[in-house]
Amino acid sequence: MKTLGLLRRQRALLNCAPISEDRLTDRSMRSAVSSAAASADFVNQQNFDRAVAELVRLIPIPPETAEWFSEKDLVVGSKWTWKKMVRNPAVLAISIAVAVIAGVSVFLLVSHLNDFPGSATARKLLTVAASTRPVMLDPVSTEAGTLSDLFFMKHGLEHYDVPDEFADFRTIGCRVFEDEESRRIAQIWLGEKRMQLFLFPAERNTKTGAVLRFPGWRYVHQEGWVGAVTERSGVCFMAALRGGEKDLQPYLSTAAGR
Amino acid sequence: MEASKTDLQPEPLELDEHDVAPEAALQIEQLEPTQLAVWISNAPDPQRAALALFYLDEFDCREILELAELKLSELSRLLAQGRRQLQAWLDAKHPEAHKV
Repeated sequence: MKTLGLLRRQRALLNCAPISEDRLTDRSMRSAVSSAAASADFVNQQNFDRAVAELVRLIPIPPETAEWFSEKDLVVGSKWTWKKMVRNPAVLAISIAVAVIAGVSVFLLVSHLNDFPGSATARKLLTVAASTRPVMLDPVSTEAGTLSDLFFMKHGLEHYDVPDEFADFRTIGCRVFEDEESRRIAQIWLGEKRMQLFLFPAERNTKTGAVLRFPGWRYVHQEGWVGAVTERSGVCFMAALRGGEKDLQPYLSTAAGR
Repeated sequence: MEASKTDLQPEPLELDEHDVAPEAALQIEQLEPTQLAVWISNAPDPQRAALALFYLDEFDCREILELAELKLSELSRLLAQGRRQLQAWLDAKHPEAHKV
């Protein structure tokens, strides 16, 4: 019974055997055709079909009917090719979405590679720097290094010391404010390239309370601003200005020279 | 409309059927393309659709099955029957070629 079924299916396939060999896309059809290739009946059928198809090609299409079909409306055989698959709007949309997701992931990965304890706060302070106007600060004209005493005496802020690299620059103003996490931030405006200095508490281990230290200077970027951050005695210091790392590097290299 | 639905139905036509002959290609060559077009267009549906899609030679078997909404066994039967009927028509139209 099974053999009979197979024969019946093979007979059905042979009856539908395509006229052109390039339409032999189905494996079972290819197998049926190759096994019957030598049969006289099948050869007769193929010759018959070819002759009919040849004549069908010559059937004139009335002009009014031809007008119905512009080239873009014609039904195209759905032969699978890479080119067609790439042009498929769904595939294209998915590819673009995957590329965007991959791009964002790589961007996040690269940006987090440069993270350090306090980098999130530093970025927020760069936004503060971008929106600060001189009138918002108390006018103070002195050397930046001397403000450590002011912060300690007036606000009780210990170790809010401006590093030597920036201690000699003249200030325009300063203020102390609290951020949304009630941490006290000292902000200093310098005359030098309209640079702003920030002093804020370093991040601590939530369990032990120990300061999370990091060596040297680290850069952060936000909205066209760049900041160079270092940590000393549990307090982070950031020098910020509008521009790139190359604008800050000369100030930091003077420290290395000293 | 009502009359055409109930009263004026065409009588089912029993067409002759002959086995496909080896010299069928010669008989087909003697046909005018429009004669073949008329013959195919007079076939009843779904045979007309099956023959048209098959002899357009633009689609593979699977695509024809999808477009005509047929099963393989149905398409096979319609095509085989179509060939045999076309052969009978050719034999009636060009009997001399059949005798060669």
